[in-house]
Amino acid sequence: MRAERDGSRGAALAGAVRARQWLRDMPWETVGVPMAVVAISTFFSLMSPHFLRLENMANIGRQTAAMALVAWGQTMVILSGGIDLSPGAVVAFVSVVAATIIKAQGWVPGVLAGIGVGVAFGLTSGLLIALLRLPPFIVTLGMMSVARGAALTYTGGVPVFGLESKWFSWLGSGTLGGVPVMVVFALAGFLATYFILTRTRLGVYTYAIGGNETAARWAGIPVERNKVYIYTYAGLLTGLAGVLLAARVNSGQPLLGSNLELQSIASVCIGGTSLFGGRGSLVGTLFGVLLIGVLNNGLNILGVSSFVQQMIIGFTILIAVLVSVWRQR
Amino acid sequence: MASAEWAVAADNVTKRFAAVTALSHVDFTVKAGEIHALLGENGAGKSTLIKVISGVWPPDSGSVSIGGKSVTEYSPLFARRLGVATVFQELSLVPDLSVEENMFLGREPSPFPGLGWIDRRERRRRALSYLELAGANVSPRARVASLGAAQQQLVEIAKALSADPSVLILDEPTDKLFGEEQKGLFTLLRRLRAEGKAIIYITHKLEEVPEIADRVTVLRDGIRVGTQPVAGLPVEGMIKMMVGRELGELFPKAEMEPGPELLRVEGLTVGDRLQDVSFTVRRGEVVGVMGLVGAGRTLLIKAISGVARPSAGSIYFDGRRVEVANPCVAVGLGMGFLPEDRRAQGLLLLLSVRENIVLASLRRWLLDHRQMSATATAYVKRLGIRTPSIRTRVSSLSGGNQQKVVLARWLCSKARLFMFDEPTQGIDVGTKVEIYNLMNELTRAGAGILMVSSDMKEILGMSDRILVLRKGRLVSEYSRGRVEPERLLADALEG
Repeated sequence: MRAERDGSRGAALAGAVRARQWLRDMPWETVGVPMAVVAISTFFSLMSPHFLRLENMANIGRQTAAMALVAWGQTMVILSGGIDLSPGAVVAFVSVVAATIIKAQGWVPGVLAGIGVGVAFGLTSGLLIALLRLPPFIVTLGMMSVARGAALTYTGGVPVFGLESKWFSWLGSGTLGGVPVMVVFALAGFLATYFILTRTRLGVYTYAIGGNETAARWAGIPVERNKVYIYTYAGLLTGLAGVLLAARVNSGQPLLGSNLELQSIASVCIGGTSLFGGRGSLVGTLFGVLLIGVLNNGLNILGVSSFVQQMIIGFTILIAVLVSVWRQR
Repeated sequence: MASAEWAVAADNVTKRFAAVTALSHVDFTVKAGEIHALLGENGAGKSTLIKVISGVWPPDSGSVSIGGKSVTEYSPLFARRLGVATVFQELSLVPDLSVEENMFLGREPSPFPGLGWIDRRERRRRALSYLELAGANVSPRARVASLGAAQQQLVEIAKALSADPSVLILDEPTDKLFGEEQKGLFTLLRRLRAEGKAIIYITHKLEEVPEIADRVTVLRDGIRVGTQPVAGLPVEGMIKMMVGRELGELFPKAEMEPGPELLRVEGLTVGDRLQDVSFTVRRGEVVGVMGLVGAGRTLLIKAISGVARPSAGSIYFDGRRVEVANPCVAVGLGMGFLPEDRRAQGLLLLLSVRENIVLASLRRWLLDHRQMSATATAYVKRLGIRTPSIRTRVSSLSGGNQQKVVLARWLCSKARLFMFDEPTQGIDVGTKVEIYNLMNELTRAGAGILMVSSDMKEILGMSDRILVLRKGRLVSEYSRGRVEPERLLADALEG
């Protein structure tokens, strides 16, 4: 009797050890998270017939595209050992600048100005971080406040409506061969960032700087210059995300993009990229973005209150981080 | 083995770290009332052995007994209860606490044990008596951070003594002790020996051994080479046991005629830590820099490479005056670095062997993966880097192979001036010789090498010229074969 109990306990223990080994050996970013995405999608499609419809897929794409663009840039920033807290607020400022200029001068200058604002904020953060050696957390926290304040000041706190450009609203709600334009941009951003990280010198340097800045410096890498590139590129993607979001709501909104930075950081984290830098991949972030996108959308469809949604997403992030920490131990 | 008669008995101990076997079937015994010197080169396994004995690491196989009791649980606390006190090489004091707080950390004297009430007066009294015993002339109230390296070392020893150990282990205590302090320590050790304590004494200053030790055990590459009474064992004999070969074989220095000047440094000054240093390095020449810890050896390299900003002085590279604002500029000029701590400064541990090799040679912004692989493979072959693949993370390689990867990076970038800071620290003898051969290859190809090392044999064995730094000043310069080790040491010490 006793031996039997010991035996089953032993088996359970061995099972736990095996499960842990399996978790550790499994390529988390490319297998674990996608499996979670599939599981959650299956759950939602069982709960609601609407979930798997093509229309809803396009919806998920539109809802997630801007966050995805921000997350690509965030991945590079975090891989380099930094962090960017400003994108949400910068998106708001981008949207009001773009909207105002579109009203006055047409959609092309408006879009370019919007992207320019994003680049300018990224460049400024990068210069402060690289040249003055200020911590990224504080610099981008400051930029976040500056950008949000600028958006509110510029508009007096009132949204900018009355954009009458067909092309601009097409950016937000149109499709290209059945795929939402926003998604096309998000995918293009993914490919560009993937190319940078795997096929260019900047990519290798990003991993090197994040892995060990001192050693990178001794290896003769121009650390400062590359940091400026990284934050500027992230700013470019943020600018693009701001323009697309403005197009989607067809207006400039000083309160747009709240939580965007946190959701993008969460996606990067869920995707298995180390917050200490030097370790991780953009493909992981892609699945992190999908996970959060599917979760947001599915919970909406099920009519879960947005308050509860926030909690569920919070728990998801905690579980993901727990698993990745557990795996590294 | 009847372990009862030994104060310390390690029986058939084996310890591995990943792929590296640090100790292989080592037997080691110490009698009560004996000072037992433990010798071996860097990486021979001395520190590992004492860490097993003091319970820091459990052995993979084999056993340890202390005072006849076998160790059933490998933890520092358990070892302490059995009477083992250890002064490790890396100091373990908390810099911001006082001397007395440090000495009794975790075992503060208390009138009501368990209540967290500290009897300060009692602590002061005990601290004073043990500090006096150790010959440390410091106040128990002094903050540890305010003490010099030698004083901190003595506080460590006093701390170890305050546990009233039956086994005292000292890992290179005289690294930081000189002159009177060293003599004082020896007097103390002889007294402790007379009291019947067992003392394990690790040192690399072999001339100390006949003076202080009774028996010697030599480790080499994790294997016990032998245990002998000190009487009748000359220092040369010890070296032979440690090295396993003659010195000439260890330093395969290729003699060659140096070419034109490559680097000239004039009046280089960094605050008061490096003052008015001038010298040259010629093509095909190895210039060794020797000096004590803190003499400014590493700072010299940092000042030349732009990591530390010189307050005065000028640098000429290839006959041209250059301003080196940062290492990036230095690398662009054709310098390459093997920093002191290769894991923290030399390597990108998270990157692969391939990326580490080509890192300083990425001339264009677009990467050519095929070209990178071909280059990396060529260097892996040429330097004999032992790695499963060029895609392997460099962190999983052994120390010697990691150092070769850093070297490969600078060969790949076509560096002409190499700055080595402790190039063979923690590397096994075989790989050391390979690295020395690579140095020969570099000088033969017309490169210049500036080599900082605290291994005097290495400096003497590989340098064409030797510079001695003392307290930030260049005090002497010697040509190869024109100086005795005693002279060098005296130059580094006096002042």
